Formats: sequence, C-alpha cells, structure tokens
Amino acid sequence: MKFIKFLVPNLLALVLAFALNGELTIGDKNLPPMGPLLSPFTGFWQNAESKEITWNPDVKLDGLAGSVTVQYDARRVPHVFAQNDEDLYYMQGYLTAQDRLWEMDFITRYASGRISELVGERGLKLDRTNRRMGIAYAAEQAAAHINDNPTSKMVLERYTAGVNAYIASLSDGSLPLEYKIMNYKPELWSAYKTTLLLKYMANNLSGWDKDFEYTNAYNLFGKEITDLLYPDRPAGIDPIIPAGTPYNFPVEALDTPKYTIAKGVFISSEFDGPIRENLGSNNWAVSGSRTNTGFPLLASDPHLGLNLPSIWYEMQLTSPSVNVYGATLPGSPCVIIGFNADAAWGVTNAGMDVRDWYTIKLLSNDKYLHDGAEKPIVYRYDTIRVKGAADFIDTIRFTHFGPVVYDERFDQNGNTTPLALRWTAHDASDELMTFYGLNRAKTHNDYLKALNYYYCPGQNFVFASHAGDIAIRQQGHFPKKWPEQGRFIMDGSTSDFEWQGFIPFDQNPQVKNPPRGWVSSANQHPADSTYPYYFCGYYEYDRSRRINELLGEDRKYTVEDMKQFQNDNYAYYAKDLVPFLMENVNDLNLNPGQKEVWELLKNWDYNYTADSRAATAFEMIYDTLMVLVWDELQPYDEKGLDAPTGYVTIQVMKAHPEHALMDYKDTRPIEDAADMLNMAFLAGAEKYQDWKANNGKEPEWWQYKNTTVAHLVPFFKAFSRPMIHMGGNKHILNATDGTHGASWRMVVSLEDEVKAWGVYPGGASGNPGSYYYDAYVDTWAAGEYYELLFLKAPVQNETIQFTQTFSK
Amino acid sequence: MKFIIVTLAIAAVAFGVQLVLPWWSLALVAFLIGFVSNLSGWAALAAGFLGSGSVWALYAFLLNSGNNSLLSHKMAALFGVPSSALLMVPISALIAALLGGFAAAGGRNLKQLVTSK
Repeated sequence: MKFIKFLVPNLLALVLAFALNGELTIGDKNLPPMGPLLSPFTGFWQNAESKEITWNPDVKLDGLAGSVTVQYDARRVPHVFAQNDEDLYYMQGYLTAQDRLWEMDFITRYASGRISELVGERGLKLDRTNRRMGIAYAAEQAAAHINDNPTSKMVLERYTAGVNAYIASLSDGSLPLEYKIMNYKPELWSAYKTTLLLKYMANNLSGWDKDFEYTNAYNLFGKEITDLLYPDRPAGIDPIIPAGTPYNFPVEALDTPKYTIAKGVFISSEFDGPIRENLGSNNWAVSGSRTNTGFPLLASDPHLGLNLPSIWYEMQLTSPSVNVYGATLPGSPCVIIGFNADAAWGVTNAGMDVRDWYTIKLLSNDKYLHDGAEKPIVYRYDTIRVKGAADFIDTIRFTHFGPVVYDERFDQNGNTTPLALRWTAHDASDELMTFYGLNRAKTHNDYLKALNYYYCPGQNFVFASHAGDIAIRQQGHFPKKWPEQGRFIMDGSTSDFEWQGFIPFDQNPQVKNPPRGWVSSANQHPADSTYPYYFCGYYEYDRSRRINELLGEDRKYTVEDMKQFQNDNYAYYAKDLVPFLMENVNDLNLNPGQKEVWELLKNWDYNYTADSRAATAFEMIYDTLMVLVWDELQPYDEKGLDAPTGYVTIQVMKAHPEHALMDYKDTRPIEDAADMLNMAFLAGAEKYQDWKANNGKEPEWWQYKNTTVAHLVPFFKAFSRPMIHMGGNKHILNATDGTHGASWRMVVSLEDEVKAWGVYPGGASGNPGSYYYDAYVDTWAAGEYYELLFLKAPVQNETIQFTQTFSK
Repeated sequence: MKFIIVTLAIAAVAFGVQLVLPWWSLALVAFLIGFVSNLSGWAALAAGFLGSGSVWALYAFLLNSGNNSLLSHKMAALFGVPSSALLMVPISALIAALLGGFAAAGGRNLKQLVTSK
C-alpha cells in the first residue's frame, strides 16, 4: 500500500513533466511544449512586454571599439550615434536582432528552402522549389563576391557580429515568442544569411515570369491571339521616361535567330492560377520650381505583401561618415529607402523580365548537348531536413545557363522536359554597395555612382537633392535582347537563343531634371518605343496614368499633396470600364436589386473609398466579367494559362467586340462584348444582393475586401490584424487589396533643414506581445503619417523616451 | 501552521530555482520539501499544489498586468481558449500546481516508504 502511495504521485509527476516538456500530438493537432511555453519564467509570459522601455541603460558589448548612444523616440524608433562605421553597423545588427531576430532568421530559412525543418512534409514542395530556383546558390555567389570589396566586407562582418552578440545575450525567457511556439532555436547570423535575404527580395521582385504561360498560349492559339492577349506594348501606355526624351547612344544590332518555341504544356510549380497582378509601388519627385518651398519633394511607397513582423524596420544611423534615416530590411545593413540632409531616394520594382527558360537535351546522366558538342552537368545534392520524417535528398543539375529547375525529379504534371533557368539573380553582384553609397549621397553624381553596383532585382530609383536635382533611373543588369527573346521557352541546345550581353548601365532608361518638372514611376513600362533596346516584362497601366495626371497640374505642390496622392483611391480601370458597361447594358427590365446596383454605378466617382458600396458592386461585376470573357482559357491550372490583364481585357473588348474569344462557350448563341457586359452586370448584381443577404449588412468595400496584415506564419492568425478599415485596391495609387499594400510610405521635403514623414503597417517591435508590434497600423490605415525625427546629435527632450549607451 | 510554512517554502524555493533552471525544476523542489515536511499525504499534495501554482499564478498575473493582457489575449486566441484572456493565468498555473502537488506528495510518500519499516 505504501509502495502504491509512493508510486502513484511520483509517476503522475513524471508523466506530466515529460509530456508537457515536449511537443504533443493530440488528434490532428500538434501542441508545442506547453510546460516551457506557459511558464512565466521562460514561456510566452516573458514576451508580454510593458509599453514603457525597461531595459538596461548602460550595456557592455565586447565587440565595440568606442561608445555608441542609442535614443529611442516616442514610437521606439532607434536613433544610433556611433563614433565610427565599424561600431555603427555592429549596432545596426544588434538593434535589428533585438527587435526582429525571429523574422530575419525565418525569412532566410525560407529563402534557402528549410521550411520543412519547422513544419514537416507540407513544406517540402516549397523548399524544393526555392532550392531548385537556385536562391541559396545565388546567395552563395553573392557572399563570395562581397568578400572582394573591403567596404562591403567590413559592413557585413560588423553587422553579423552585432546580430550574433544579441543572439549570445538571449536566455530561454528572452527568446522571441515564435521560437517558443514552434519549438526551435535561432541560428548564428552570417554574411551568407544577409545575401540570402537580399536574394529573397530578388526572388520576390524578379523571381517570376510568364514564359510558361505564354508558351502554352502560343502552342494552343498561335502567335496572333497570343499577341492580342499578352501584348508587349499595348496602346496608351504612359512610360517612366517621358516621351520625347532623347536616347543619344548608338546600339549595335544583335544576331536574331529564327524563333523556335518549345512544344508541350508547361506548368511551373509556382503556378497558382491567374491572379490580378499585385504590383503596387509608386515613387516620384517634384522639382523645386513646382513646390511651395522652392525645394524638391520626393515620395516613395513600395508595396509588398502585408505582413507582421513588418518587412521594414525604421532607423536613423549616424557616424562621422553618414547620417541617414529611413526604412531598413531586417537582415541587411544600411538604409534601403530613405534620406539624409542632402538627398532622398526611393524605389519601385522595374518588372523587367530577367529570367529566361531553356530546354535542355540530356545526352547522358552527366552530359548535355550544346552547339553540337557535349557539355558537363554539375550536380548539387541538397539534403532537406524534414520535421517528423526522414531527410529528403534532392539532386539538382546545373548547366551553364543555371539550375535545371524542372526535370524527371521535379516534373510539371508529368511533363519531364528538363528546363534550365537563366536568371540575373544568379550572377555575382554586390547590391549592398548601392545602399552604402546612397546613404551617403549628396549629389546626383553620387547617386549614379551608387547605382552602378546594382544588378538585381531591377528597380526604379527616384532621387531628389537639396541642391535641386530630381532624377529617375531604371537600374539593374538587363540583358540585351532581340525582339521577343525570352517571351517563350527557348531551345537550349544551341547558343542562338542565349543572351548576347547586357545593356550598359549608362544606357538604362533614365532622366534627370526633365522639362515637365517631375519624375515618377508606378511599375509601368520604363520607356516608349523610341528606346533603342528591346525589352519585355510585367507592367502596370493605371497608376502611372493617375500619378502623371495628378502631378501634371499647373500649380505649386505641397507635402500634403504628396500624402494625398499616396492615398489616392481613384481607379482608372473603373473609369475605362464603367461608361462602356453602362452604354451596353439595357437597364429597362431591371428588378429592384439590379436597379440598386445600377444606380450605385451611375453615381460613382470611381473612388475605392473604404465605405464605398459602388466599389464592391463594381468589383463583383469586374471579377465576373474576367471569368466570362476568358472562359476559353480555363481551366487555367490544366491549360497553364494566364488571364490577360484587366487593361488589355478592356482594350480587346472595345477594339474587337465581335472577336471569337468574346463568345461564352457554355451558351448556345454566339455572344459579343456587349453580351459579356450584360451577363457580368446581372451576375455581379446578384452576387452583390447575395452578399448583402448572407452577411446581413451593407457590402461596404472595406468589409468585402478584408485588408489583413498577416503574421508571416499563416497559422498564427491570432498575431495578425484582419479587417482593416481602409480603401484602395490593386491598380490604384493606394494599392491596398486584401493581402498587399503600401509597406512604407515616405514623403521628404528637401528644404534647408530636411523634413520627412513616414509610416508603415506594423511597428518597431517584431514581438506579438509588444505594444510596438502593430502600433502604427491604425495611423497607416487612416492615411496619416508620423513626422520623422531626423537628429544631428543626441538630444535631451520629450521626443526621446529612452536613451541607452553601449560600450566595451 | 506547518502547512502554511511548507507551502511558503515550496513557493519561495521554487521561485528562486526557476530563475535559473527549467520549469520542471519546481517538481524537484516540491519533492524535496515534501520529503522533509512531515505533513500528511493529502496536506503535502495541497502544499505542493498551492505553493507551485501560486508562484506561476502571481508571476504570470504580474507580467500580464504590465502588458495590459495584450499577449494573453492573442495566446488565448491561438489556442482557441474562449473569451477571457485572464483565463491564461489559471491555465498556466494549473500546470505548475498539478506538477508541484504530485511531486510534493511523491516526496512525502517516499519518506513514508523508507522510514517506516
């Protein structure tokens, strides 16, 4: 009896301790180690920070040479004052890790194809895709190349040491929350991880193309229809470089082969059906002659996936060689978009196609055919660790083009044609030097020198200086191409289809101080047909027309104008489509529900404001219209096709209303564009009334759209901010849809004392338990800004909530 | 009186030990104090339960107040715990309480086993 009395409680204690010390699987639910997670000593309670900063004011760090002052302002943005650059970048690494360690660690694991380590087999396809695209390979190239430049080597080494000093200071309790829930530990940082992060961005911004979809269209419908649906240059584009800008350089003709296009159906592993394009970044600069202060204004709002922790981290970095403020990327040194006392810069994505695909003719296991000779294949064996399962070893072939992404090991719905990827992100480059240079740029010449380090992903760099210059250049390492080279999958067994060199940087599309007095970009075509080189890419048509309309008025512009334009909700595509729709829909026999929608559209000013019901109704009609008009292309996932852009759809409907493609196959009569509009209107109106009935409330745009700033891990919905009350949509300057939007809004007035305003949908801290995790979201959603505190030296006043000194 | 002293002792030592050792170290504390306590079996169980549980409850409550329940709300939502964020405090404390209770009773009963032949 005594033995049993001894045994029972001790056994219970042991079972409890063991069960709760590790992960538990109950049914289909996987629980994290609940003991450590719920312990107030080590668990999530330790991440429940108070709003007031309660840190040590005087921190000793072995890696520092001098003493560094860090001042946190009211929004907890760190302002760093170092006595030399070595200490500056060390502290940037340390402070970024303090707020964003989990995020930077997670993103670099993602980029290198290591998500399966955390989530098990469901991450395997994603990991294999990222590895086979060669993202890690590209990062390895870049990390090796950066070692050749003493400046970027120093910056990266110091940044790395700073991150690792922070990691070394962590205890079980101070570990970021996500590690505790997902039950793993941070890894030491390295220069390679920073290049992984930069390649993650390169993949985000240039790591996609439509070569497969265009090839499938070509094989299904022929050249004429392919060009109609996916034109290189549709009518009415408003390019970045104003029409009439001269291009005074000679261009040598390229050898142009007769195009042979790969046969078959190609469906990439990343294919997820036709989505309306998510591009959304804007930037512009207005010359001092057209502003109320007489000095230039610069605005930049890059749009990305809306995520928490934010992709941006605001900082001011000061040393004897630099004083710069702006948005940094957690994981990378320097400020990426920002300003200093003399100049400001911002970026939008170029969209230039810098990825081409080649069919590979394998001769044996280790040889492939090229120009009639055998070339060796280099093998790379990637071991993917999979949580809860055996390691997966992937064998990736490398050719002189780049990795063979698809082959018999990684097929496309049974199509095993080996396809190699040629992508500029794989080439060795040192983009860090661009940002190092821009952070210190005073003049237009400094800006150009900094840009010349920049290869990939192509970006439109806008620039303005206190001295009075405004400029924009589409910068990147862009291949010279003969017409239509790389629109389709090409034959890799001959060198005929390979790139024949690159456009010299000083011949990239660019303009300085154009007569019209402003420069702008919104992901549109960089130049018109007078630009001497052929280019193709993925472009936007609506926002460019809108911003150039807004900036083209004959008046003096103010900072308030810039803010208003970044939050402008006017939809050019609605302006293009609604009158056309109303002309073609016969409204005589509408029932009351349809009549309501009709009236909404009739009285609409084409603004996607948060509370607009017309915007919701139009959106429903528009989505339906796209499905009806392009029924011949569906099902998209079987045919591997992309839907034409909305811009092109409207043009085709207007120019070719009786084209065979307008017919809706499932109905007996032969329909034309007007029939499509009628059907879409009726179906959209029904959808509108159904939504109203099902949800019991008015379909205000923000409710239907559901803008969500989502935690990077989809499962962590509790750490996301759903249902944000705001307007905007794709193809609108305020390009905020459900999942994408302005990731940083900045306006800089380059007066004698530079002034700037900014906001992003997040907060300084990456900790979901911190007040500062999402503290800026409401300000951002309301279209409001914070005035950015640009300090010349440490100050003692109410703008600073906490000062910390770091020293050896 | 003895019960209160034992409970407080478990709480105080468990607090100190958990500042440096993993969460389950509270079981060792409760076990050892249970062993030397001279309480009845049920009383040892209760002292371990209250001593360990109260440390977690109070500490979690304190951290939660400083945080305005911001994170406990989110954690409750993450685990599908209904409505009240304050529920996360007793849920956490229950783990320590059960473990501490069993361990204290286990320690006390071990002593019974080895001393009374």
